[in-house]
Amino acid sequence: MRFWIKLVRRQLGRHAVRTTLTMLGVAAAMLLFVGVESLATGLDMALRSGESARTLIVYRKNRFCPQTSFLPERYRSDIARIEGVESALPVKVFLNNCRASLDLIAFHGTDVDDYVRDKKVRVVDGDFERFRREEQAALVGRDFAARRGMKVGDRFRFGDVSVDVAGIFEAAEPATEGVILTHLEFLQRAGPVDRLGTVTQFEVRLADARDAERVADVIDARFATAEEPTDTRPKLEFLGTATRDLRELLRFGRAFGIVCVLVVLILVANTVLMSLRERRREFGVFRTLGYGTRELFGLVLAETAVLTAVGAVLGVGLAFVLLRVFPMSLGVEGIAVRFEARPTLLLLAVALAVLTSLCATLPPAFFAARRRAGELLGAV
Amino acid sequence: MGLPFEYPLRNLSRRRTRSTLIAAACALVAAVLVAAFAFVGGLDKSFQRSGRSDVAVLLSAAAQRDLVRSALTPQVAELVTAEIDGILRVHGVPAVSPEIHMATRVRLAGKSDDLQGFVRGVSERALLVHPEVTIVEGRFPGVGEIAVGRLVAARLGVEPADIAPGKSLDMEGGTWRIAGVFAAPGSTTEAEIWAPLYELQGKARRPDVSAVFVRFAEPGEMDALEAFAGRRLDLEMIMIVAREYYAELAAWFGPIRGLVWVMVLLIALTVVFSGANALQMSVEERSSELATLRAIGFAPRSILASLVLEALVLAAAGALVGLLLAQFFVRGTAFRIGMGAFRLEVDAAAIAMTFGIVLFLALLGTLPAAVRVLRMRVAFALKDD
Repeated sequence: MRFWIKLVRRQLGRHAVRTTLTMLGVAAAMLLFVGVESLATGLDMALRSGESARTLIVYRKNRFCPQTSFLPERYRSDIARIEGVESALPVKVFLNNCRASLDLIAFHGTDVDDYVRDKKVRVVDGDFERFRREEQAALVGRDFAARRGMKVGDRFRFGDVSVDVAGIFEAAEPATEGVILTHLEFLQRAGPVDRLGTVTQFEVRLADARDAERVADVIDARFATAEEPTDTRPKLEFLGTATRDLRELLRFGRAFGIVCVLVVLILVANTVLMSLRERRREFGVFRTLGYGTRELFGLVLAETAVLTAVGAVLGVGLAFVLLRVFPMSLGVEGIAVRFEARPTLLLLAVALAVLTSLCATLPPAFFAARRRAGELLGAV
Repeated sequence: MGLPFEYPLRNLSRRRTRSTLIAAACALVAAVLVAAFAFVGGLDKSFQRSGRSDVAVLLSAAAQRDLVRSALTPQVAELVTAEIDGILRVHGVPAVSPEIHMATRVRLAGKSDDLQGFVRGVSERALLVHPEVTIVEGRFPGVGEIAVGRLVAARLGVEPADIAPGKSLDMEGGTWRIAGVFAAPGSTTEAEIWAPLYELQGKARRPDVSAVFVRFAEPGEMDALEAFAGRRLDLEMIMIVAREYYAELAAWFGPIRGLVWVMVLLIALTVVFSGANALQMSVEERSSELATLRAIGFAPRSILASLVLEALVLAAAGALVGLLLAQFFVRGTAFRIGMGAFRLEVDAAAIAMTFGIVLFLALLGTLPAAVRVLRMRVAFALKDD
């Protein structure tokens, strides 16, 4: 075994430029692959939160952008009285834009104590009591703070809304960590006068997830003839609809990723093909010394696997570091989706690179390993 | 002494598998590059074509320069018509259009899926302010009717036949009959549903309008409107030139465009590294052949030129195949983004740029091979064999 390891190492070291170029090619492809798939992972995580199953979102009927949904705050007490409802949280959302963006600014004005309890918000830096006391204070999600380089004590201004950062928080749901949390009344006053007393949505927690459909129907029926009719959906469905455009972008990005993997597949196959032709004499000598098809086949596969694995680890590692140093999230309709480079994704990327390159190597390696010594040496 | 032109071409056919693989990689890269150019070009142009320099938009000061968020009193249109000179008049009708811009849920008749659409509440005057809009099928909508842009099907994610004239859809609590289809080539307007303003106001329960569009006979006359907006503090509004407004929207997608280019760059890097490798190996493999050429008097420069030509012919062939692939998969595809949709546009510039980049990448990939040829010591190379 040690002999084979040494042989693989030597072979790769013998052609330093070739080895380096192949590794860099694989690394660039895997960097792109992880970049795209980390967005898919983030989207998946945003959609799959533990409380989604028993949470309903009450929105203004027929609207899908937070900037156009205005519901009277007083609906809260009516909703809270419905059988099966545990709590109804009013949320006023103020965004920089509804469109897909890499720099989403989303203020959530709400009843802060309930929000902190329901969303399992935990202040990791700063003073929660100061936030509760001061009207203009805000808690900033960890993700948003990292993206904007914000710290406790900073003042953040967007349009007519200006807040003092009293703390930075983490939450159970990744999407929540991309928002700026303020007091409800403060954010209501930041908008036009005729919108005072309105909120964007209610987040309704149910005692039992199985009641979701019934409670949604009851809520919508209750406000069907009110001045602002409602549209109530399970949170999962609401998030799925809101992030539809993001999935379209992701589809486009995935096409790029697939092309990149295909290009690597083609070029690795080419490299192996040429390398095997170049090493015919060497293989002939191995054959003369008594090495069989299986050993030679294994040697070629091992060389490819090592070469690709090192390149993939390089690319995947770079992607991981970049996303850690420069955290990114893509926002749409007020929902921030973080680029999540999870360990499982990183491992999957390396495995995919190795498997792809092995598939590309199989045919040339098989034919080279099967040839006889005389044939190989005679061809020189 | 230069090598004959046939030499690099013969080399390509001598190593068919290798040539095919490299050409395939170039084809994929060309296809991706065209898709990227078409995406960015389509996105940019759709906003550029949506805004005119002779049209001004009045919207509420509190709206953060966003039409969807804006709410103005409907009387603004009449006030502007009465007080401002220089407004374009067509057969005596002033080109002033009060409009509602809103994102809404749409449901096709007989279907249960809620779709996301963008609706604009307009009067017939809208056609004076947006001359790029032409009714191409049916007619302008009357009471209980709507007109749909040619990209609305893409925006909603349905078949064009589902929203053909004569069909109906549910929106804002009412059922609307599709009276016509309009074109506004290459602009975001094509992804909109147009409904009669007053009816939409009633159905959506909003007495206000989002904005008032005003078209001037001369762009220089807009100063009066800006002064009017500044003077009437009670109306709480600002004026923006339409072209400026849509340029701001286009800038909003700057980071998305950046992301697309980063992806293209990574693919290009993959190709450069791997392609350089292939060419480097091709030189190594043929070192004795190249050394023989040197020994019989061919200059390193002419051997290098031959290698470069070989790479360029291969890349060009691959790029051609890639462009054909793109023609098939990319051209005309509509893309849904940010409350609208746009069409991917493969124009002459995109094709030229793609071709240029693929050839440049091939040249870049030839560099290590070039260095090797120039450094080649003939005696050693011949002895190696």
